[in-house]
Amino acid sequence: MTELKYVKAIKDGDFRGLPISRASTAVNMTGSWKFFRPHLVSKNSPCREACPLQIPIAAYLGRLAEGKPSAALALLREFNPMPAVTGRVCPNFCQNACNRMEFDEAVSVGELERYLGDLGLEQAPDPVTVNRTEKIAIIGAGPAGLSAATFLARRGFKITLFEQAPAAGGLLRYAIPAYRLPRAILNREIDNLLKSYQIDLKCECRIGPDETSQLATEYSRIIWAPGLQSSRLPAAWPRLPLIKGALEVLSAISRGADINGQRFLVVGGGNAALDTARSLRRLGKEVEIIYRRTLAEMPAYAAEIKQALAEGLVIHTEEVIENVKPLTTGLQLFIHKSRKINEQIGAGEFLRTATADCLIAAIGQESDLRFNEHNNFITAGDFAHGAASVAEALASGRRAAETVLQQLGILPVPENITPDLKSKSRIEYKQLQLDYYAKKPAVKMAELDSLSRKENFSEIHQTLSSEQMQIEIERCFHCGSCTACGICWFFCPDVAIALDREESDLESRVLFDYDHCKGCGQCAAICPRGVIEMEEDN
Amino acid sequence: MENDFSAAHAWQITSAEHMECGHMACPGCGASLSMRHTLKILGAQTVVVMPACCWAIIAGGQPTTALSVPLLHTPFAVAAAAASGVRRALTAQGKKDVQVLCWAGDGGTFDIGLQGISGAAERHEDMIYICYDNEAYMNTGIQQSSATPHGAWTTTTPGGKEFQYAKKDILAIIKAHNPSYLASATIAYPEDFYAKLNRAKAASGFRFIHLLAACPSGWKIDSQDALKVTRMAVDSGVFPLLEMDDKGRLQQTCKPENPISVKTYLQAQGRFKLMPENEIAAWQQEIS
Ligand SMILES: Cc1cc2nc3c(=O)[nH]c(=O)nc-3n(C[C@H](O)[C@H](O)[C@H](O)COP(=O)(O)OP(=O)(O)OC[C@H]3O[C@@H](n4cnc5c(N)ncnc54)[C@H](O)[C@@H]3O)c2cc1C
Ligand SMILES: Cc1ncc(C[n+]2csc(CCOP(=O)(O)OP(=O)(O)O)c2C)c(N)n1
Ligand code: SF4
Ligand code: SF4
Ligand code: SF4
Ligand SMILES: [Mg+2]
Repeated sequence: MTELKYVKAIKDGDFRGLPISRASTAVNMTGSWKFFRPHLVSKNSPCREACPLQIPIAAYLGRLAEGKPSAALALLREFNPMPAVTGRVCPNFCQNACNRMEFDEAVSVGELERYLGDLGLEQAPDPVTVNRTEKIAIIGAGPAGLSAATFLARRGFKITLFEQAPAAGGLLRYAIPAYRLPRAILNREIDNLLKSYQIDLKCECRIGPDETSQLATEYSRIIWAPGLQSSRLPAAWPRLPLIKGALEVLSAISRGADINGQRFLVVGGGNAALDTARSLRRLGKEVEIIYRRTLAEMPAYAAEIKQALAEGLVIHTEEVIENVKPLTTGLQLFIHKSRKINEQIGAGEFLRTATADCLIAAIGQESDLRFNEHNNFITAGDFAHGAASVAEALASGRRAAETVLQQLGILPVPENITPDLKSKSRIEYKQLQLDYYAKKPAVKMAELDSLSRKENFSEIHQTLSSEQMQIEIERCFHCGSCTACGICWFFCPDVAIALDREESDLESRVLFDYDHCKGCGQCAAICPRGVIEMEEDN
Repeated sequence: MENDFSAAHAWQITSAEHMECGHMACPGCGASLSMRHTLKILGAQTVVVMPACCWAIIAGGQPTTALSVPLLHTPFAVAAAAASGVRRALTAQGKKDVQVLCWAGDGGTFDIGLQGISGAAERHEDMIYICYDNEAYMNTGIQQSSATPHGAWTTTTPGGKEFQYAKKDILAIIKAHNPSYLASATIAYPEDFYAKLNRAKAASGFRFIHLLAACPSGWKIDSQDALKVTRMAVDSGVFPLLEMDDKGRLQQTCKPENPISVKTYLQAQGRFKLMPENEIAAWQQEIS
């Protein structure tokens, strides 16, 4: 039998006659088939919009998820000068807006921020150089003053910070108890700021309104961030030495002063009331709280209330102290049921009398500064906007810095340090594509048990370990920020996507091969973070 | 890690590609995406054998090819037989570590190629046979096959495939041949897909995988919804993800976290538009 032509050719190793394709289909410009093309558009995450500091949470957590903690810290610090502090005491406005709440449970952003904040204690911010001749004075070294100082120092200014107390920190040092914010952490975070930003801190230096004109000769601008340093007392109460304000007591405890008396009554329902009561109990005192409304109406952070109750703190609700009489030792208190009269709380029927060694009012704060004339001061923090929170004080300090820069003609007015979130849209839960995420409970910090913790000032919570952080970080959807996760790359049927994981511009991390992309739109449909949009292809 | 899929680490899947851009698949084609990942898993030491089907076109016209591994085109009915020959030739040359992948459509598997597959399975030919099932003869213009589900519109079933003609149970047919590996999978469930293809790769003998692969034009869906709809096939129970265990029983490998109704799956596609309510209800009944 004669051999077939092809069989002979193969035997001879001659493949020329065979229909074999060797060229790549890449020569086909299949990109010309498309009507729509994908491109990246970052969005605002709801957590960022809820954060007073507008921290780009999705993006910095993205860097952490990518295994770049230092880069994550650097981005976080651009917006928040004190992450080790806020990571401990911030009520986490972000978490209450987290998209993941609709999926299972909010991401523990505070815990993750704290993890990075603690890392930052060992890695001071990059030092700045003073390269401007104008000097700036800031009055008050609380979070607002420290924040204003940070943001101005980053622009090359020499800052002098005047503080009446022996050390910087404001209410962080003289109000918030050490079991929530250990002083070693606070000291380290503040020292890092002072050193890296070459801030000249002048402690035990109270500046009054009268010194302003004198300061004005030396400093181009003065920022007032003195906070609200006095506790208000109810008008109905007599003024007696054994009736004190919460700030006075908290400050004494913070300074390690002796606290006289054994039985205390604290009046109020905010953080100050809880902090005072819980601190005094840690000193071995007997303490009860009296609050005029219901437990649900207490303005203190819910987590704090829960912890206080777990520690066995007694809170009498819907009661008011109508009158106080001095005894030979201690005070006699006349306690009434509270009564609502047009939203105002007044005294209703008499309930009982009680005695105490000391009565503490924790019903609000006011400023002890009295300005005669209305000056066009730049103000920041609680002094500017009323008692609020650390994050709001930091944000307000940043705004004050911004005002200084604008007044000195350094920032053109439309360009701000505070990011403009209006230029981008918010990404809603429904716009996320979460098929490839599984439900997982949030990782929470370990907590000292309520029995052992209530006798000392040891910090209640423990920063996440790196293993815990790793588990929690994968729960974040990084709403609206590309993490170069590669899901779009994985699902492109046309091998038309490349990733650049080192690229820091979040809108340039995914590279589309428009010569071959057919515009199927699957990448846009599948991106978990909703950052790929299809636009008409011209 | 290289071959484990997770939402946060998709990028860690091997970057090596053995399927190239510029291929001829329609936008959003599930078959092309399935091939891309099959070859990522099987690797460069693979020879692909395929009969007439969409993929024979997707692979590119002479002188181009979309695969960087050898690909042998065969007539419609003989892919499994040709693959058997390739396997034996490679083995004769001592190339035992080269995988032979026989890759065919549902028409070429459920209908016209079935006798060749039966023979290869009976002989325990050492190959991985993958049927990418787009549920009709798509390449020639959407004619019904025995893999087309009842109720589905095709050009040969303009009123919907009649209800009594249910989709053939291909896994039962192959199971009766005592294969060494048997599973159903889809790239819309990537963890499951990667796990199964890796297990098939590690095994030897006749291995069969039934892949559901969306065809946007044949299913009358938008190309951007192809993955979503394929996932719905699993979530509704219409296409369960199965694998044969060592006792020869088919087990479900991945139970949907968010089950949906058959109706939801059907209504997401234009091809089931004409399906009457009572037939949808009967289908739901059959599954639950
Ligand atoms: C008990 C308590 C608990 C709190 N807990 C929390 C919490 O858990 N989370 C949270 O977010 N917020 C909390 N807050 C609120 C938060 O502490 C404040 O909103 C924040 O500290 C305000 O910052 P600031 O810089 O405006 O003022 P401050 O922190 O009050 O700092 C002002 C500084 O200015 C100094 N100063 C004042 N007058 C002068 C002067 N004339 N000359 C020189 N220096 C002066 C003061 O000594 C002080 O150091 C709490 C507040 C209290 C009272
Ligand atoms: C013997 C024979 N009959 C018919 C054809 C025409 N033909 C080529 S591909 C094809 C359809 C293949 O359908 P399927 O196997 O499901 O693959 P798909 O195109 O859907 O991917 C047909 C009928 C052929 N090539 N050879
Ligand atoms: S999932 Fe992450 S990015 Fe999205 S809202 Fe929650 S914390 Fe922010
Ligand atoms: S899928 Fe991942 S890599 Fe692709 S755009 Fe979205 S976040 Fe970026
Ligand atoms: S998945 Fe690929 S082909 Fe489809 S639009 Fe995106 S880049 Fe283009
Ligand atoms: Mg088919």
